[in-house]
Amino acid sequence: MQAYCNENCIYFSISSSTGFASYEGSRITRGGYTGSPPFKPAKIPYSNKLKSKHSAEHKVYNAFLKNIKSLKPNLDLASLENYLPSMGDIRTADDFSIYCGSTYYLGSGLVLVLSALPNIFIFYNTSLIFMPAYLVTCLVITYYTMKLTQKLFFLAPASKTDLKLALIALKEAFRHARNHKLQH
Amino acid sequence: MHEIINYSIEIVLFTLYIILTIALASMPLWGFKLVESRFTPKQKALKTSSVSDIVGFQIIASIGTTTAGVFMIQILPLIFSVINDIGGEFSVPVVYGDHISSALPSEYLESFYAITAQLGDVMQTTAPMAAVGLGGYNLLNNISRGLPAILAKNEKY
Repeated sequence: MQAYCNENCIYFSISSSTGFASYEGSRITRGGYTGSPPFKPAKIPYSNKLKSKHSAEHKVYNAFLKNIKSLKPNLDLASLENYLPSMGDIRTADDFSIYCGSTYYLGSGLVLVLSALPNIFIFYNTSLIFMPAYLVTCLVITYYTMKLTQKLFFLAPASKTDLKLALIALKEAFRHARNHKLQH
Repeated sequence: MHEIINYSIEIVLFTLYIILTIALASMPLWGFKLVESRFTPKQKALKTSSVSDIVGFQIIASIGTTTAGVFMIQILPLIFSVINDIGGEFSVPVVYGDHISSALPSEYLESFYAITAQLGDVMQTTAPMAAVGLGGYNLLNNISRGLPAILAKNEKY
């Protein structure tokens, strides 16, 4: 499952289907199609409008993953659709995502460079106690750096309307994926 | 009787030492599997197939290089160093030299012990450079553009 957003629209992709939802004036435009979201690098710094949508996208993603976490693997779409999150689930969900493209590569780069430091400076790099402890510390530092980076530069508190949009986009993705499967 | 018990204990310890070495040296493989499973959804129905293969490859390659960089590149020198210590403590040549020289191919084991120590030295020199190279690539190439940039770039093909 993939998620993407731009300033106007939120997208969720499942299988080969993409669902989207956007506001046009006060009206919600929703739908689904076969293909990918229109991926385009966003301008840095993110606008507040985009940050809010980004946060909503993460919250819906995390709330849905939390709902299906303990389910047995390889369920079909119809079964998984029963676990779509409620607005209550979404509001309480965390908006940090380790899968987020905005910080994914930052995290992987940071953990690699940090983990190499003891070997660069030959600092206790053969100590059985120091090295595992240091590597775990690197992972923790990276995790919190990613979290802080997302919070500072890529996320803002999601508005209620954006949360609603993100949930509609996910529902549309499911609807289109199910219909697409039935047709084939 | 006492000698037989000692001999058995040494054989068991030596076998454990070999198993431990193989388990630690194969850490990148199972480390990668662990990380990959964290990033791959359990529900196949949710898997996105619209993403082109090259994008999928890039994501997996990134997970792979990170796992390899952290688990293998940084830990292997440590593993080889530990093997060095254990090898020294077990007094490997003594174990199989005095008691089981006729039963085990001692030359191969001696070579194995020596190779791990040499590999440890080599890895210790090259590991940081490789890790900084891989990490630097990830940082510089994608620091501000993220996954959407890569996906957009590859959707054109």
